[in-house]
Formats: sequence, structure tokens, C-alpha cells
Amino acid sequence: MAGVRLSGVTKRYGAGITVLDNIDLEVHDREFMVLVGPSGCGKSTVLRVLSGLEPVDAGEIRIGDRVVNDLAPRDRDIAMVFQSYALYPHLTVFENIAFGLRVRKTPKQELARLVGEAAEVLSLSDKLEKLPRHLSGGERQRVALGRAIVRKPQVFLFDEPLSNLDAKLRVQMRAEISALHKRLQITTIYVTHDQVEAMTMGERITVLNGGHIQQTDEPLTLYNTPANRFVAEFIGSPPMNLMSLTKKDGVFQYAGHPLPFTGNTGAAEPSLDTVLAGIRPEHVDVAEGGGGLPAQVVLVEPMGGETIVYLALEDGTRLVAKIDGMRRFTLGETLMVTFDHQQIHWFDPRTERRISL
Amino acid sequence: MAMGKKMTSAIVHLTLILATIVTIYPVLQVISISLRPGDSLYSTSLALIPEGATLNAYKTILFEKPFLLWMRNSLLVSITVTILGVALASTAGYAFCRYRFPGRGIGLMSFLISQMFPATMLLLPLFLLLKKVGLLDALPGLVIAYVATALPFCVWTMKGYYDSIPVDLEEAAMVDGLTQIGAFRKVTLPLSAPALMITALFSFITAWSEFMVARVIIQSLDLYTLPLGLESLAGTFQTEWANYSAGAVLVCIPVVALFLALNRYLVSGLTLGGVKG
Repeated sequence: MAGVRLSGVTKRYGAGITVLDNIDLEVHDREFMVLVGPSGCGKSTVLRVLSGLEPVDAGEIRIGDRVVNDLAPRDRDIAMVFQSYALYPHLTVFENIAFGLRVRKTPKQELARLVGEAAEVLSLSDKLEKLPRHLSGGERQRVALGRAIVRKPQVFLFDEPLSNLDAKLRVQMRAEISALHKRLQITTIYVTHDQVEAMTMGERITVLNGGHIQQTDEPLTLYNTPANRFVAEFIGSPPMNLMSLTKKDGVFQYAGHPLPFTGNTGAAEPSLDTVLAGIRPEHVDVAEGGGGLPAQVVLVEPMGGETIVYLALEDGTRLVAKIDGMRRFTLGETLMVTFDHQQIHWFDPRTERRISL
Repeated sequence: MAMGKKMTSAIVHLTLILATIVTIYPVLQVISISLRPGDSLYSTSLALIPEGATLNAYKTILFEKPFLLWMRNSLLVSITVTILGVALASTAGYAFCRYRFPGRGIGLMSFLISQMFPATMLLLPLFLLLKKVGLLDALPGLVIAYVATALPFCVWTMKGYYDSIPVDLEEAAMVDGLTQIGAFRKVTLPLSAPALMITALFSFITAWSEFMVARVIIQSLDLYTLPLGLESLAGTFQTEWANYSAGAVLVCIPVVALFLALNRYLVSGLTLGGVKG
């Protein structure tokens, strides 16, 4: 087993496109680290440079105590699961799983035992003689996992492995991969654009955007104390509401309604004239009367246990509220919106960084 | 509606039957002539097996003419062209598909452009080139000429096919422990079997049935390939038509055998490269 460390890693394509810009990332030994971010943020590139499929332009990559910058993929002792599964179509399931072992000239009996064990773990024992084209999506995914685990590498790399599966299978495979990690205890770096996957699987999550690391933290820390506006908006579904507040008479206000800076992390009040207030949908409440901001219901998404209500404030600003599923709403009705003041996140509108960190 | 469908079906079948007859008739005619006792080309009989059918012409061509020598030369040239064609096209196609290098676009385009010129236009330059390097009237010279003419098509076929193989497969193989060449050899090449078959067949047929270039390059009788040999059977004043036809039938056999052997690859191979699958 081994930890992974990227120090000052920069990767450029062509003349001017910087995909990774001075990335510093440490993944602890046996940790399940998730890299998450929107398309084009550089998360897959991190895996590609780590696996050796792409060279880096600057920086150092360490796996364990070895600097691997100049090592070929085959010498890095890693295994990778591709989004497309990348199963060898001309080989049976057995041969697909055994491929890496054969290349490494593993003795026949040992090879059969290892493949058998991996197939057993992944419930593939009765599929070993089949060709990939005769398998379902979930089974193919398992073969790809089998090919990775059979070698017992130092590091697992997963590149959006569940994105080709249907929703139900995705949930099932998510649990299987997590269970597999707990069982094998191999350092894992898992790339996804799906924040639900990230939150449910990762021991720690790194959020990337535009080739920069935005924040690395445990899932709940990331959710409860996002380091900046991007993380705040990216993590959480529906995303966090953001409102621009202006200071009047010494109090931050939105359209004449005061939203006092309570500083839920105990920070001092910023000496700014305007701030961004971030409020998670579950911290927005609505009532038919009383105080608050008047808002019109523009869309209702009943989910059963909860209802997502989309609201428009008087100036057109949109808000999303997550309300208990038992309550009923009518399109077009006007409600009074209130916020849980203790749960407001404050961001500097210029730097977009969290105030109070 | 049903009537219209039947009509369409009838027209399609009639067209296909006609096309089949037009295609097969000359072949049957050649076989028929090869079985005739005399040297008569024309006969009023429509019988497929002529009256007094005999295999004498085959005996003559095989044992009294240097047919086996021509066959040996043709096999030597064709097999070498096939091996070289497959080896060069599979590697060159791979380079054009997977790598970006200066001259890539021009290289591919010039391959394509070379296909636009008729083979006869290449005769003079080929003749001069081979004369310069001392390979005129030599089988290696013929091999070089054939490989050069077959290669552009083969490289494009191979490149088109490699384009349809996801690069992920090679990357997975490299992570699994292979070098890039190893991944090419163990993953890409086996997956390219249909394209390789097409390349092999095209190279073989290019060399096997070619006459014009061979006529210009080869002068010695003992270096004649089958097309040259067959042509030599046609005399100035009299042609031994039965022998000539028997020779033609014998020349076709290896190609037909190859086609039958590679048939299952060909059906998928001919549609490959064009569509990503």
C-alpha cells in the first residue's frame, strides 16, 4: 500500500491550454479520495498523469516513497478502471481479468487461483468463459473491477466508472465499490462529476475547477463549510442559494430586509459594504403569512419525502427551498420566505472566498 | 400494397438473376472451352460440358508448358507482397492513426492522391527507378512495384479501422503492464483481424493478377508470372484456346480458395473502418 502525493503538478495541452495548474494533493495510504468537479475541470487529467498515460509539464508525482514522473504506466504499480470499461473484446472474462497477471508472467496455478478469487468477490464465477459483448453493463463493470483488483496494486484509479450505468445499477455498484475498498484497503482515487457519488463514497473529497483545487476535505466539512462560492454551489443538490447583501445602517440587508451577520463559524463581521449570503435549500422556510421576504412559487418538484419549491423574489431573484414532503403548494401563490440565520454562509463577493475561514 | 411489394421483389430478383448470369456466364464459358477437345473458341453448342469433354488441356498446361514455374514465380511474388503489404500497412496505419507528427496530413493526402492516377502512368517512373537500382527483370523489382501500388489503399484501410478501436483499450493494456508496442501487438492487432484480412487479400490479388507492370519489368522467360505466362500462350497466328482457358481456370483457383477461406472476415471487414462501433 502507498499514499500518493502530487506537488506543483502542471499539465498543458498545446500552446496555451493549462489543464492542471500547480496542483498540490496528498492522498493518504488506504484512503478513498474522490476528485469531483464539472466537465473540463482537469479531474480525469489528474488520473492520467498519475497513471503515466500523460507526462506532466512541471511538478512531482510520488506513489509511496517513489517519484514516478519518469516511470512508464506499467512500472507504477497502479490499476485503472476506465469510464468505457476498456475490456478487451476478443478475450473472455477470465482472460480479461488474467491479462495483467499473464503480462507479469504469473505462474499458471497462481494465476487461476487469483482470477478465481477476484471472480468470486465480484460474483463473476459463472461468467468466466463469456466474451464481454455477452455481458450486461453491470457485469462488464465488474470485470473491469476484477481486472484492477486481481493484481493487488498500490493504488486504484477510477475514472467515472459508473457514468455508463443506469441509475439503479449505479447505486448498487457504488455500494459494491465502497465495500470492496473497505475489504481491500487499497489507496483509491476516484473521479466523478456526480456530487452524490462523491459525498457517499469519499473519505475525503477534492473539488476541482479550471485546473485548480478548490478544496479538499471530508464530505460533511465540505458541505458545511465550503471554502468558496464554487464549492458552495457545486456541492449540494439542489445547489445553495446565493444572495447579494448590501450594508445599510450597519446591518446587511436584502431588499430592505435585514439578514444579520451571525457568523456561524464565529468570525468577526467583515468590513465590506456588500457580501454574498449562501443559504442551503433546507435552511429556507416558507409560510403563508408572517414576516420575511415575499416570493412567488414558480415550480414545485414533489419528491415524496420532501418537496423542492422554486421561488421568485420580488426583484426576480430565484431561490430554492427544500420543504417537508407533506406540505402542498400551488403555482403562482405568494409565500413569505425566512432563513435559518445560524446556517447562512458568507462569501466575499470580490474574492468569492468564504468569510471567516 | 402487397402487390406493389411483390412487384418490387420480382424486379429486384430479376435484376439480380440477370447480373448473376452476366457475371457467371464468361466464367462458365472459359471452363467449357478448357474442356473442349479441339482448339475451337467458337461453338454453336450451349452445353456446359461439351461433347467429348477432356482434361487434356489441363494435362498439357501443367506438364508440357512451364505453368508450374510461372505459378511458383507468382506465388513467390504474391506471398512476399502480401507479407510486406500487411507488415507495412498495419504499422504505418497505426502511426497515422495514433500519432500526430509533422507531415502526417500531407502523407495521408499523398497516399490518397496516388490512387487517383491510373497504374499505367506509374509505368515509366517505376521502370526508370528499378533500372537505376538494378532491379529490372528481377522478381524483387516486381515485388517493390506491387507493394508500392497496393500500400496506399492498405494504409488507409488499416488507419480507418484503428480509428474505430478505442484508445482506452491500449491504455488499459499499458496500465496492465505492456509497452505501447506490446499493447499494439496484443490488443490492437488481434482486434484488427478483419482489416488485416482485407489488406492481405488486396495485396495478394494486386500481385497475383497484375499484367501490365510485370510485362514492362520482366523480360526473362524463367521469371514470368502467371499473367505473363498465360499471355505467351496466345500465339500470333494461332491460339491454343483450350490450353489458354485451362490456364485461366487454374490461375483463378488460389484466389477463389483464398476468398472462401477469408469470407467470414471479408463480410465484416469491408464495412469496417467507416463506422465507429
